[in-house]
Amino acid sequence: MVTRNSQNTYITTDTNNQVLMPAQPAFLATHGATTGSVTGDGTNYNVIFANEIFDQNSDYNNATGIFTAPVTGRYLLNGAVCYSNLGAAHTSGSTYIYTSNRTYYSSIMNAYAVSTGGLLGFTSGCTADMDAADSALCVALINNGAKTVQVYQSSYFSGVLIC
Amino acid sequence: MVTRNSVNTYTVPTTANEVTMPAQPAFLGVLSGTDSNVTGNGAAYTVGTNTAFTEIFDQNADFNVNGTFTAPVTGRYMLVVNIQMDNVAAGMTTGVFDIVTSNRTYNVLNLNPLVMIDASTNDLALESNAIADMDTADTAYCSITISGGVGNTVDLETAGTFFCGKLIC
Repeated sequence: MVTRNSQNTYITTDTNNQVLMPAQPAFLATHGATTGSVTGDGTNYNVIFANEIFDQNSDYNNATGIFTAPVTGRYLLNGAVCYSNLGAAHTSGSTYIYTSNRTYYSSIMNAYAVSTGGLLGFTSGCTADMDAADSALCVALINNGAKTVQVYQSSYFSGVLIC
Repeated sequence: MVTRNSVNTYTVPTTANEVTMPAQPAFLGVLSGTDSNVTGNGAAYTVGTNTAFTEIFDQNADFNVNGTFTAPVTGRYMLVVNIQMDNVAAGMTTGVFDIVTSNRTYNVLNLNPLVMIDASTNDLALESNAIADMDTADTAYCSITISGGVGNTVDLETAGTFFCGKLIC
């Protein structure tokens, strides 16, 4: 069965009744390359995930790292920032998701203490209420040391309109 | 175009084929204020018991501000919990976060909170999730247990304590 609006397919089912929504806003972007020194001294760094893996509906901007909601709804957002070059002084940090309606502080911890040789992955996730044209982005913040912390290439940001 | 069942709208595509489901069970609750002295010496605390959640949205009205979500229909539910705690004190070296459903308990995190706390704020915030099988009228809630301290001095902070979920299939 295929359900259509007046123009295009928006829900497809195959003969096994597996459902896809090929036009549903959904994106996944990876960092692609390790940055230079972007935080460590309290700098809030808006992570730019430049390498788009997919971007259904073209709502994610890989030049700015900003996802813009095309329609009012509920969005599942996940950010995973992997930090490298953490030093002993970097005893405070957070990875969080900023949206126009609110900020989700999903990870706060002593970054260096839980790192492995100065390498640490922080995740942040939420089901966010977003209005049409609202923005969402993932922010990396490490405190108490020098601005020497890098965002590692394996970091990623993803989201999907869920209802 | 709007697709309807016999009663209500259940999927609403835009002209760009973005689909919203305004009647789909989905909720986001944020802790309404600091919830003080809830755990630390082994007390298992159900988030929302003493300090209620504030509903940001609650499509289908299945979430109670006491922290309990009740499944309106048998299905698979995506559940996400985020806990921000403060005042982790000496000896509190064991932390357990659970998502408790009627069918099973998801032990989503086991950790040593004392070594993880942020040195600037003395806070620790963590997120986890589960895809849960729930039957009609089953419930889900979040539980936190911090152990090893001399008292229940751990607080939960509003900025980073939230519970959300959605029927996914």
